[in-house]
Amino acid sequence: MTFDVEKFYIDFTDRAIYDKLEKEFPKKFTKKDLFMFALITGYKSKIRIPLEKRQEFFWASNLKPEDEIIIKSIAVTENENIDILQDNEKLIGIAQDYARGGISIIKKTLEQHGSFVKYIEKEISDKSEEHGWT
Amino acid sequence: MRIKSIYLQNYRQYKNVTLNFPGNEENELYIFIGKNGTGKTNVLNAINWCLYNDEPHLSRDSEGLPILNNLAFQNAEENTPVPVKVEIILETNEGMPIVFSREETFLIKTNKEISNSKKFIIIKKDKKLNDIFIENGDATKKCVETLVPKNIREYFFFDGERLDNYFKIPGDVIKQAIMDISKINYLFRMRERIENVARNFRKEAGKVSDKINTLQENLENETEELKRFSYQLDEAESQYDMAEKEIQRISEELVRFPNVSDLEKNRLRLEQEIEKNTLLLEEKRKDKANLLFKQYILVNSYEATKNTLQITQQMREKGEIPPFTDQEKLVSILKEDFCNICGRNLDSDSRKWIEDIIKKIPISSKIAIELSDFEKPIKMMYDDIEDHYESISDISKEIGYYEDHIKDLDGELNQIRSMYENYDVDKIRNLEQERNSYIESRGTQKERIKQLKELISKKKTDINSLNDQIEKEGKKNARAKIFMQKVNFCNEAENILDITINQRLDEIKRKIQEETNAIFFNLIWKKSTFNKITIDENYQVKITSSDTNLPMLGCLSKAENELLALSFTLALHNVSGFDAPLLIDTPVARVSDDQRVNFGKTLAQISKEKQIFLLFTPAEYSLDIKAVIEPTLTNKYSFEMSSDEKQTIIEEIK
Repeated sequence: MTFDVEKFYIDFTDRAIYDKLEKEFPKKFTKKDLFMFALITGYKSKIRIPLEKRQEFFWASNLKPEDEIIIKSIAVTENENIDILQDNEKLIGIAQDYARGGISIIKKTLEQHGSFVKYIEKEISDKSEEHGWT
Repeated sequence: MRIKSIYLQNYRQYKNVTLNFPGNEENELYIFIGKNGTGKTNVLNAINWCLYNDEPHLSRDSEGLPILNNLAFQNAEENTPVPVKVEIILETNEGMPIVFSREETFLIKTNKEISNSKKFIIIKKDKKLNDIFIENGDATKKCVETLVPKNIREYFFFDGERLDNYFKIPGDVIKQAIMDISKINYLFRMRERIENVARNFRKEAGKVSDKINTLQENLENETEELKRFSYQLDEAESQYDMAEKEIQRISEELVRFPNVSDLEKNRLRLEQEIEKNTLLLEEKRKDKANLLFKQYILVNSYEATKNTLQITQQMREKGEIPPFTDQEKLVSILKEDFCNICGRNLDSDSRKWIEDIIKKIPISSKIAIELSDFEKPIKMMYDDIEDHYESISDISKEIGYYEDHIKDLDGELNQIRSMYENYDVDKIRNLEQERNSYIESRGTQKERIKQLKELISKKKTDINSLNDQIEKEGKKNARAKIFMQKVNFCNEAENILDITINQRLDEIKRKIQEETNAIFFNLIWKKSTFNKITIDENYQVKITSSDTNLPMLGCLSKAENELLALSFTLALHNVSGFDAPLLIDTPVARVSDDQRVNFGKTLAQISKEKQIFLLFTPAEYSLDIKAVIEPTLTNKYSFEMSSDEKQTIIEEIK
């Protein structure tokens, strides 16, 4: 399982928000981790925004198998067709678009709540009740 | 002994004042009433100045001001002597007058007073009632010391305001004063004389025997050393005594405050614990944030991964995802006509069976294989979700624990901080340091006392041995023998004197203790609170509680403390034969309202046995005090400033 690309991209204008998001967490997360975080945020709200001014963000080789599974699962669910797994360009495009959508939500949340950690803690707790996780 | 009169001339506020104290058969109680600043306390200073040439009770306002009366200064002519004089006439119990007269003359030069001459005279009567004049020098000092020793003047010139220091007079000072008053010093002097006589006899014996002479010289040296050690022992004991008193004084003062050293230790411990727990809390928060980050991704991708999992399962059900079959291997077996799995050549059935399988295997798409590869990791991700929730819950509990613990520690720390705000911490810290240094000094002196006692004991053994040798040598020589017999006689006399001195000192101490108890428990209004008063060999007064039998000197109220001081003083007077009047400045200044009347009654009662002077401000001389004192009053004097405020007018109030 690997993507047939070298790098993942973000929109140039989102860079500052990624830096802010990085500071939200005490542990130093990688750019790949932050990208995954943004991607999930965009996906759960179903917000995709195409990149306008691309900027390299991280090497595709940094993705772990579970990251790939998530990216591909999102693409399959989004497309309702497993053939998309053969289309690298589309897969990565969906991921990058959702990540951009997610970053726009993170930006708003940071502006509104000040802290993203508190916000996600509540959300995770709600999800736990929804799915009956302990 | 009583004060018959006091004459003040040009002394501070007093231009020309005579106070006569006529006496009374039943009791003698005199009251001085005057506002602050009218000079009541300066009567006390005048007495001190006359007897001891100092003024220990000067107020801050009077400190630095000339002793010469302001009016006398202004009216004085240039270069003309102006006298300042205080004359006290005491009357012994036998009715014999003793006059103490101190005079200092000043010359006024260019608006400044310059001391010109000083004179101190004591006039006594001899047995034939002739006047004896004692003037200046050691003779006057000795006479004063015999009648009213300076060291223990606090025991007859009370200052109610300074009562807290009353029991802080070092024991050796009291002991010395008791020896002066009770004439035990005569016995000491007698002992010294006998010692000198014995020494001279030994010297005479030495003249007739070289050996005795050598032994005698050794004995002299050893005796000198013994004296030196004894002196050092006295010093060490005095230092020990002082350290002990200071420790007690500081401890009594510190009782009112929290222990700052302990507080600081506690504060430091709490601050360190808070810091440690805060770090642990931060670590836990980081762990939690880290987990939340991961969990956020996992739970929000759940629907997508679940969808993938479902698609995979559906494809498997449809047979679109076959079990693993190696097509290349099957082709290779057909080609070689040999099965290298079961190790035999293919027969026609086997060949056909393999050809069928190859036909049946759809060419599995890359996608199907990829999807089947997703299954296991997705299930592991779900396991992670469950595990993360558990870990987040555990960490949240730990965070809650640390937060509560830090809150509790903060609460304790705030309590300490509020204590710091309410007290003068620097003062407390200084007092604690001071006490620690006295504790250290007490330890050092204790060790020194032990060493000196050992040295003294050894020295005494050496001296006894030398005495024995001298005696032995004396017996060998007929002439020396006579002298040695005389020496022996002197030694015996010294021993008897030592025993007598010690017996007398023990007796006085015991009697003072008995008398203090008797007086105190007769006068005290809370009779069941206290058990007994004890006075140790260093004249330290201790009073114990009837409940716990523990010392409670520091727990006495001001009135009780003053009464104890009075009882001790009266006992001291009675037993030692010391008989001086009592003059108490602001007697109820430190006494709380509810005990003022009791205290007033006590003073009135004491005045039946002793001449008492009480100095009040009009406010202190309240109606309740007046009611208990006036029936026993001998005379009452008012102190008022003249209209020009340059002198005090004293008038007897009828």
